[in-house]
Amino acid sequence: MNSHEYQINPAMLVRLLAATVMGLAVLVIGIHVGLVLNVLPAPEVPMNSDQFMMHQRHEFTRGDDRAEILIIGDSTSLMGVDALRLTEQLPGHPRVYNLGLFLGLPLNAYGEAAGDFIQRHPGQIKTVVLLTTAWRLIDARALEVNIEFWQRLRDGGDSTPGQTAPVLDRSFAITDSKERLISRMLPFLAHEKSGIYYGRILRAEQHLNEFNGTLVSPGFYNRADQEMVTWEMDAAARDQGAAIRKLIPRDVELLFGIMPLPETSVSVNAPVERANLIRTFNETLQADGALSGIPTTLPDGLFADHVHLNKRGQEWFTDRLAESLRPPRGIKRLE
Amino acid sequence: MLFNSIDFLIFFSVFLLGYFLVRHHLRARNWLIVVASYIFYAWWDYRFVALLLWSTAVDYLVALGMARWNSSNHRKALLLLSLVSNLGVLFFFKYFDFFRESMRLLLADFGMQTHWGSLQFILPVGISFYTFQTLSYTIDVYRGKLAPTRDIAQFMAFVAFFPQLVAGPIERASHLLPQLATSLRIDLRMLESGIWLFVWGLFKKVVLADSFAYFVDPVFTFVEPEASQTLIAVSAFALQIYCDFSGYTDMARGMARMLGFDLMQNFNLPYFATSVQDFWRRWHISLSTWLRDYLYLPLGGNRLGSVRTYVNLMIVMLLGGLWHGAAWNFVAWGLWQGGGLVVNRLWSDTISTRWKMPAWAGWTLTILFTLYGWLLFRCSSADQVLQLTGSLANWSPEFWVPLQVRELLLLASPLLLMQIRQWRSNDAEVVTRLPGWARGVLQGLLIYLIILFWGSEEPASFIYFQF
Repeated sequence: MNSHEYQINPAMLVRLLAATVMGLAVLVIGIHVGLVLNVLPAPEVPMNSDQFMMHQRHEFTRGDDRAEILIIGDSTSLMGVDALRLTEQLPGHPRVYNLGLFLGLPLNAYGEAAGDFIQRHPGQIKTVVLLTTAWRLIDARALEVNIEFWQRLRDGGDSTPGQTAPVLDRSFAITDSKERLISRMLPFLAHEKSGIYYGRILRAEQHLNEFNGTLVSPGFYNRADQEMVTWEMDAAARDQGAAIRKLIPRDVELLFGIMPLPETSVSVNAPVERANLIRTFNETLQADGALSGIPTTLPDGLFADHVHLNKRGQEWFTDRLAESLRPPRGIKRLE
Repeated sequence: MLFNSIDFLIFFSVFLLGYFLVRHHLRARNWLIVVASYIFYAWWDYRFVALLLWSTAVDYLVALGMARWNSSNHRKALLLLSLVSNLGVLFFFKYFDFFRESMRLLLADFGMQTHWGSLQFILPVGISFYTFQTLSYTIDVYRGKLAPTRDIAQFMAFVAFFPQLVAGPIERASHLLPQLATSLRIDLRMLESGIWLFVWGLFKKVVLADSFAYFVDPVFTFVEPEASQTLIAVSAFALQIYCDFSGYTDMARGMARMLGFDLMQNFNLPYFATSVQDFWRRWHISLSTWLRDYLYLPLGGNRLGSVRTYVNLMIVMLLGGLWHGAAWNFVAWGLWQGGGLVVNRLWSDTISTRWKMPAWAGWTLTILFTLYGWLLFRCSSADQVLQLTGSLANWSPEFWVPLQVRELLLLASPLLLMQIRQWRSNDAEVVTRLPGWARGVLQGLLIYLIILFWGSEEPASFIYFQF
């Protein structure tokens, strides 16, 4: 018995498919004509969450905002210290600004952010506090694409990566359609697609403005899925530490601390290993002191994921940090 | 292998070529479907192919056994064997850990500590769908409504037919098996509608459902949303789950048509329903009719008085909720839907005999009821249900809310326009009646949008795959 019978001839099939192909072709040709005649809206490139953070930080270093204490570091400090709360808790309420970045940049970029602000706002900054997760010192690798973007920002160049689109992309005008049409028609979606990590980019922008550069990490942490197996410092981190020291003037106090980790993510000898890590890193960082009041671990319930504190953790940690910075200061002088 | 992946598009293209080559051989066609379906299923995890084979073998032999032995006891024993085997596998893989953990917590409340180990099995994709599909076969054979098939290729193809294997529609053997036993015709109209259904389904998934997710996920993972955020997220989830699931169904039906098969309709404008009962006639039709025929009616349906009818409705919807997943939020969702159906029936039996509610009021109440149901469905814990419900009393919208609402409406507009046209014409395939050039332009536009939204990352999975 026949399985199936095609009651259709090749001409019918071609006509059937041709209608769709023609529809698609007319649309693509229309967009190309629009590009040639320059009648399409100007491109609006949505930044991803990392680019958004670098851009915001860079704008702050160039702006008119004042600050007396800067918090620098990776995203664990960005989302671990409530700068507004810290300002309110310190004597005389010196304005604290959280200039934290993220793991995908080398440590010296954190110093560059602080250095740029200090250079453009002479005499304002009294103290710079570098806070980073131990993971950052163990693995100091960064993403080249982020380093390039950060450098372009600092050099005052165009922040848009100059990429040549593949042939298929160019033929179908995919990038042009995304940047000139979709981004314009659906700006929220275009931003949110890349901003999901910080909760929302629009929320992040508002939060950064309201809370002196601080963000809150979304999510809930249940249990350790990544355990710290080694505390050996990456050699590159040593060099990056030395670079930071050069960027912070000697008349500005440089303090250093390692952010706490969830209690289920480390072994029992973590406090000793951590103390060694601080000492080794400071051989090149040459900080004026280490924040001795920071615990090695905190209960898992204070975390949003395996490194970032959640809102409750952020409040708890900010209060401990305020205690360390208030006289008598919980700062240990390092050799 | 996801329908919205390059892998699948290549797989289906190769399959179409093979399908063309075997057009003169019915058995070869069925074997080709079987082989392709098993490759398709093994793509996720080859180990679970054994489960599919097990279900197929048991039900094939059970049905033949029923034909061989006429004694009622023998037939009952065989039916029981099929039920225990299929539901046992389903229970073991899907529900064991849930019931074990629930029991452990219950005992802990009474001060009894237990140290039962968790099995932590991966849920085999599509298990709930093909288990129900193959069960319907043995039950229908037991009831004498269907003659068992002796052709193993036909039966294997029926259980594993890849377009609908992992997320339905849950086909009835009486509908699909005869198609596998006969020569099929593929004419221009079938091909046109098949291509349209596939493109429209892919558009609903890639462009609409995956975009709606960005309005949903942050609110259900972020702490402390307020009323406007919750309302937007729940509305977006209603659209997301509809586009995701009906998109999959449309693609499945579209592919089947390109092969000459007809799969049952699974959705019929569910958000146009004017009552909860009406909603369940329009949403996931293949599951709701399965539950009606194999659970509700055997329980007595509405033949045993009002109270028993209400109890039956609650039982069916509770199990319908649990069918979606082993979690308390699905239990709550099932009970919510069951409660809605009971109130609906009470209303029909009493008030509506004297006063008929205007359609617009019925629609509004049904939509609000459905939206809160989706909140229960999407939440991951009772705490979150309470938090999000409580947030509805806190109205302090952020500055970006008008932007979000505008975009949500813009994204939903293609769906809305299409559905209004389908509703007004009372024709689900109204687009296929358009002139060829107009349909071509529309398909071209949809394909272009699919390309734009396709994304460079891993394709997003379908929500119903987890069930």
